[in-house]
Amino acid sequence: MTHETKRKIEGFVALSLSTLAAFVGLFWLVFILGDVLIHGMGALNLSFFVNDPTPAGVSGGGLRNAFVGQLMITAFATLIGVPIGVLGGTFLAEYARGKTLSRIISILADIMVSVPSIIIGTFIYALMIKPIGHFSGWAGAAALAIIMIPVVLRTTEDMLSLVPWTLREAAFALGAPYYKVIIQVVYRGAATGIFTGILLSIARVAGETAPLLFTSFNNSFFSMDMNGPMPSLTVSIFQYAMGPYDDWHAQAWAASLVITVFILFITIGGRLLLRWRYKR
Amino acid sequence: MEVQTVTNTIALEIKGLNFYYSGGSQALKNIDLTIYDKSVTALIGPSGCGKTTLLRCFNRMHDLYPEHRYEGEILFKGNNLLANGMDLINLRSRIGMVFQKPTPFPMSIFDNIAYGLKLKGIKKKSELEQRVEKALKHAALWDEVKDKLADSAFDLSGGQQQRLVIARALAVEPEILLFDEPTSALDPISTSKIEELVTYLKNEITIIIVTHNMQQAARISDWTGFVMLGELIEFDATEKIFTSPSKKLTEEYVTGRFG
Repeated sequence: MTHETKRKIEGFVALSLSTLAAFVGLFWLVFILGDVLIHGMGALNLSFFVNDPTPAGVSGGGLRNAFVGQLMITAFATLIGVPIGVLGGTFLAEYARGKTLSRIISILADIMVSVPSIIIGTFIYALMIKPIGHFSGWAGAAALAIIMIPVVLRTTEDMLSLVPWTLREAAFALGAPYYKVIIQVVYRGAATGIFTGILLSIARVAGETAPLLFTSFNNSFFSMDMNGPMPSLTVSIFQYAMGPYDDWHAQAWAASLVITVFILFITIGGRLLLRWRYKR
Repeated sequence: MEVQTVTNTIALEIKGLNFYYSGGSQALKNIDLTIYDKSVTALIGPSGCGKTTLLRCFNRMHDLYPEHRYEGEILFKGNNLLANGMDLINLRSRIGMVFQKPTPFPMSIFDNIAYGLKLKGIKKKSELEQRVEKALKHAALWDEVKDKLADSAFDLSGGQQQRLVIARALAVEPEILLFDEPTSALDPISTSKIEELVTYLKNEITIIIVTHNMQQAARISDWTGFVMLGELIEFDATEKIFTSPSKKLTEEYVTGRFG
């Protein structure tokens, strides 16, 4: 066999394997999404969005309470987690660049990213739930924020590091102080990446269940009181899917569809916003 | 080439300058050099000889990095700009810098030029507009960009970006402009545009340019300093350096025997 045919065969094998792998991955993705779509669509109706749950066994009702709860917990988690993550990442990439401290925090953040979320849930349980004696929406938001922080922090750090040093030097050479260089030049250069990181972290926590089970728990009633237990779509899916009623199963499917579409919209919306911002 | 006949006022006076990078390696050795006002001074020399290091002393760019050390004096309008209490923000708005690769900021063409002006506290829209236009005309870029000031600066070509960066530096009306190999990343046409610009600008400001390209130094500068291994070997009128240098090393370098 000549060298050339051998290379062609190797090339063909590599191409086939990677194509196959791509399709295997895609197959399950389409399968899951399709399944959620088919089952979810069947259970979706107006009542699902505007009514609160009915007592077990009584048909009808919806998950309005869980939508509101989920949105509030996620929004507050974002409000807590994003500023800490972005500022922390800025510290690592700018003020502590190249220092040992920066490297240690980076590694710790990487470890934090892969810590199972249930551990963060139990941690917040011990810290915030046990002392007050009841579940609370704030604890849920705090748990999700803790999951978000390392993700946002590391992406911010990486994206800031990608902004070339010469750009900072050019701003310094015009007489800009460091904080203005960071805010007006470096952040703009890294905005796309940082924003993507924030969106990914929101998408990540929007699908979390374990940390909420230990913190905000659930609530069959409509509640906007972050000091008390709060319902969320993910915990509702968990409880309804495990429950004995067909009605509940249908609503769990519907909730799964809604949260999937919600995450899809965050991602698409964010990307459109970025494109618009960049063009401006 | 124009020979400097007018009385030369001094823009910068460098006396016994030593510079050490972190780790203590000495990059500049006992440099004595006078930069004349409203003229172009070229710094030439082989790669790694210290010419860029020298240039970056003039706006204290080295201060961005830890553990550097200066010794000696650089007098700028009677003040030693290496002094400890020097206001670097003020210094850098008076001594501007243009880098090897174009460094447009990730914002519109207008905002790029307005950036330095805003740093100086100019907020009025009409004044910003007027000064942005003036700077762009100054840098011979106005005609090419006047209809797309709101476009991203990244949409410009490399040569246009470099002139944009020059316009940005000019907008804050510096007294001295430092060029660190400003054309080494550009094509010949863009290069000649920048060279024309430099020649035109010296009527108003003092220019110090580091260049690898000896023809460029010969074309555009009035004064030339030859730097090697951290030492200033020779400094004289450009014509003299390129036709009858007094040091053998200089002659060998400008005739291309090494470098």
